[in-house]
Amino acid sequence: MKLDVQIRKTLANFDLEVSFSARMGELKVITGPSGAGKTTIVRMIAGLERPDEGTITYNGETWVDTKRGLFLPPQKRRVGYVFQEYTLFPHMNVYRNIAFAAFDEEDVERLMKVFDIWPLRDQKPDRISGGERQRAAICQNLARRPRVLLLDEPFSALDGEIRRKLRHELKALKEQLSLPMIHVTHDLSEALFLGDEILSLVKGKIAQDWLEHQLREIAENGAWISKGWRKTSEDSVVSSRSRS
Amino acid sequence: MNFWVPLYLSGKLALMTTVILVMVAAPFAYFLTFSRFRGKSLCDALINLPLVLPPTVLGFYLLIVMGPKGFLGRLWGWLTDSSLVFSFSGILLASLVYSLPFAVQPMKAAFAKVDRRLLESAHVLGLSSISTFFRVLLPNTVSGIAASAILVFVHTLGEFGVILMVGGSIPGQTKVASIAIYEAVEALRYWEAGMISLILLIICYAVLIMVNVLSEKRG
Repeated sequence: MKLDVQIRKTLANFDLEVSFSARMGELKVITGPSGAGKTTIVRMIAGLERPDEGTITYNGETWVDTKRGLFLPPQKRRVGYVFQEYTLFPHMNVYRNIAFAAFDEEDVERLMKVFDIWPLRDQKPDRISGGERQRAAICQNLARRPRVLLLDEPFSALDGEIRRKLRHELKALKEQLSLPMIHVTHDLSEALFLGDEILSLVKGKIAQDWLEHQLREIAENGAWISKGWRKTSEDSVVSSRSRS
Repeated sequence: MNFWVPLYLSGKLALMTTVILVMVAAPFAYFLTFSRFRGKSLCDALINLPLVLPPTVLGFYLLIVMGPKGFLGRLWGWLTDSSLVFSFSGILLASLVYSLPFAVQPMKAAFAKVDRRLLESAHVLGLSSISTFFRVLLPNTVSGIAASAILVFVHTLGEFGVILMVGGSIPGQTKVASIAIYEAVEALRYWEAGMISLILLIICYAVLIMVNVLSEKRG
């Protein structure tokens, strides 16, 4: 039971070429510098873009096979996709947004309570905070009971404290969900905190030496790590993984 | 007070044109905004042609196509056993063609403003393109659609050249307010022309006030 991705696509400045798998319950983080092609990968998994060549399969079901001309539209893949910025429907209240594509409407209330947004059910998205909107977006996608969860920089527009809180919530959620999760972020501490495996992407290719270089730089350069940051639980993850 | 008949005809024509065009123009606008195909700019220019074409030129071509020997005229005759030109149906069809860009352009602008990620999100959440259109795109472009409807209505109220070419001036059938004003002036019936003009002016002004109030309410 896993998601297999083998894709190639010519982008404006380089060729994107990656191959990886994500197992059930595994959270795979794709990190790397801006413009490396991270978002393009998740868009192709979601069916919003087509690769030039390659295959994407989920548990033996073919979503994309360019050689055979197969392309399963996004509507039929049943993936959850939390975008970088809030994509709740502005004309609906929070409850209707989450119930919008819910597999079972009974899930809606339960999820909203888990994510602590039940009191906001009658509010329109523009009346709630960024963190609440992103929680609602995660609920909206989970209510669909997705087979794969894609998170594209979901916390990048949030301020530090809320971002930290949501990271912890996502980590707790990960333990409960048995589905492949692909999380895109350029934030290394987030990658290290959440990821079961981290793929670093540079100009469209997986380049693990970039990650090693970044981690070494963090470890060696005291300016990167303030005292306050050292005290966080994320830091212990950074330290332990960078040593190994 | 025979000026009520042309005013009624103008109102009926404007209302019917508006209702039909809002329904017809929405898919056109959607197609032109979101799809990529060869010849898109040709298609776009063709729809916008009535904006720049002199009404008499457009009216002339419509007269040819809708006339007894034209394709549409013959088809209409075969279907209804009546003439398309010099009839209310004829001026309605001409109005639809003439006002099409006034309906499509504001809708295109409104559709283009909608964040693409909303539509992509709807697709990922399982909605087909048609469901996305009705459940996501339309509710988020209400003001653009209203602007389009108002523009078409007001524009059709004032139509003159195309209607004169296609419909002539048959009282009760094709003699709309603008033609009645022109004929009243030609016959030196200034009071009648003044009354019809005043009523049109009040309607247009009221519509514009309504637009302003609506846009203020929408923030």
